[in-house]
Amino acid sequence: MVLRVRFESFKKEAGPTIRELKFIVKRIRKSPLSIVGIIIILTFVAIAILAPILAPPPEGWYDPYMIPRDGFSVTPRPPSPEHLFGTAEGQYDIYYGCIWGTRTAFRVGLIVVGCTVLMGIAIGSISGYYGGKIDEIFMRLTDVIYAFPGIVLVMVLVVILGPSLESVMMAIILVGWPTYARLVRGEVLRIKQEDFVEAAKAMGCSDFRVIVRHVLPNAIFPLLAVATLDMGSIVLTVAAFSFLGLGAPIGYADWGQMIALSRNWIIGTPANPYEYWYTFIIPGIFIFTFVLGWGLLGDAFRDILDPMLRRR
Amino acid sequence: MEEILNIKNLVVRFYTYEGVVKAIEGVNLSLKKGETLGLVGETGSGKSVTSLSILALVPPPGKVEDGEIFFKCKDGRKLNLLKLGEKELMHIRGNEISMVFQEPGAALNPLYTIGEQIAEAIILHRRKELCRKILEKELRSVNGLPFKKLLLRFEKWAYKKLLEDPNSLSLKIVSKIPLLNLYSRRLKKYAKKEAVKILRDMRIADPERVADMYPHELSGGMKQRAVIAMALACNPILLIADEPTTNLDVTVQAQILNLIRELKKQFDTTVLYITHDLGVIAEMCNRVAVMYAGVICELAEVNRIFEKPLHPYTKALLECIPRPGKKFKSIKGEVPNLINPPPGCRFHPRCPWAMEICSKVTPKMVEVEKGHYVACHLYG
Repeated sequence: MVLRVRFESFKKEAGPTIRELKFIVKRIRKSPLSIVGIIIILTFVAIAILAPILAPPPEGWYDPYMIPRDGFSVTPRPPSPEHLFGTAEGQYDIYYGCIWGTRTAFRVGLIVVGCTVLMGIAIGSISGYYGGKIDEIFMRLTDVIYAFPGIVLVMVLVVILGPSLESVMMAIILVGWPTYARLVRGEVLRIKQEDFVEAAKAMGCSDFRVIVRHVLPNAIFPLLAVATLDMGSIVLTVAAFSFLGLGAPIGYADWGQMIALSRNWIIGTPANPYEYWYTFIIPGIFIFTFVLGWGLLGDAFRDILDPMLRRR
Repeated sequence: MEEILNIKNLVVRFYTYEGVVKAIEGVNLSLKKGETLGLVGETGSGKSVTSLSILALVPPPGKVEDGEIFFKCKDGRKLNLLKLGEKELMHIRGNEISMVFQEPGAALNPLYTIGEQIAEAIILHRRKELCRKILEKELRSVNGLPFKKLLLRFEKWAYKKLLEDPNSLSLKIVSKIPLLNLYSRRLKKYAKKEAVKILRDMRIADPERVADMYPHELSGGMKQRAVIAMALACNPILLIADEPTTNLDVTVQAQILNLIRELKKQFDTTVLYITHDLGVIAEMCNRVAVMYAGVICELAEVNRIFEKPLHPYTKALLECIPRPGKKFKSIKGEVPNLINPPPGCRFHPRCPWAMEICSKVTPKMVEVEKGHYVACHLYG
């Protein structure tokens, strides 16, 4: 009885939120591609969570992110019951690397996107809302960063910081935030002109409250769409740096690093150019689907965004 | 009648790339308690800027250059609004002076329900009152199962603290800890209840349902009611209505005007009504101030303005009201560019009675009859 009353009151309280959620779900269901995206990403999430079960590290292994080796022979070995996807140069297990590499991909994507988005929101909203000198300083700073080709600047920073996965991430964050800051600034500049911001000020809200409660929630949607797209592309960038040998160390469970391992085997042998296909195709498929999944999810976010636009 | 607002020699300028826009030049105005003062003028005559300066919200590059705005608070203090710090102003905005905007759709945040937005105003300014009510009604006796008892005791402590010293360190820490900060849910619930009550005062038939709706789900008239509800949520002394019915159709306009009139009595507020619609002025106001190019040119009881307008601009404005069987008329010339306003009387280039003195000397406000002021050389 008491529980039922509780439930009823909860239903009433959450009514508008549930209505909006239903609407969003309806929107998503209309575009099958975004469902595919969601399924892909959920599959990857499941792989990342279940990694210790899907690919248990050998007993007493020092670091689960280091791929176990089966011997030290240079020549890769094709898929077999023992090594589902075969082994790479130096007998690293490709299956193990791909599974645990999912975790690396998520870690890299989430940390890099999270930090760039946070920096972008903080700097962009302050710069857009207050304008004037602060705006000028931050925007000239973004101009300076924009003036260099992104990849080259990241590379320089990585070399300064010393090659490792962490320094690649740090470098991408330092080079990546201006994109978000500009995006947020533009949105904030637009939204601060709206009457409801003026109304909030006339109601007695402090600047902080106006920004956090009234401006940012309205400015954040385009950012979400870009951030999901970036989740994929940042994994690609990091893979590229691992491939160049600036990112993860050899033997680390990272898709880009695994393709780097196959560098000498991509051409195959004169008799069979595809002899060692498994060394690069399989990690490549993982990277490809991961990026594709985030891209499609970005589309789904755009669909959710539409009703927000409709509200204005 | 006591004065609650007194604007003295207000000067507002906007520093733009093209030059200094002299938006408001020496405006004097006072509002008596309980009256409705209409502020009429064309677009760009400085009506809205006047109202924004009262809230000290003139947007940059605008600047209040000179003048004083005295306001009598709820507690009887007389403050110069232009000299206050941001904190005191935040207390006055929404609580003592609030504003209704022209476009009801744009004045509501599209992401929150109507109830949440009204509740925000209530929590901002009436937190103490709510806390007291909660302590008296809901947390008076602490009993029940041991765990619940502990929870209620904690909430009681939190609300007592909130009542005594909302900025205390312990409360700040607690409100940052998840689960523990759920105590504020009770406050939000209470504020929402109050919001529903206010919506009912707005003569909305089904306030519970409307409180849970988003702005885009409501009609224009309903939205404007919600905006008025937000403005009146904290029982302000002065309500500034900036063309609140301009974008509504006529039947809805009549409803809203009636509503404002009734609420004015019920809440005992003074209203500064800004519009360019003389019909609405005739309907709503006790006194009228006519504004032209940043200056007030005539100020009188509403009947006097319509029966015996003195200033040439007021006369011309009244001529412009369309009537059946009458030829359409407009005022010759254009509203002057306020970067280089005409010298002397700002209306003289368009005035059919312009004399030599008009282009040289700025006319002063003179009291022609009791309570009827005009700034024109014809009467001085």
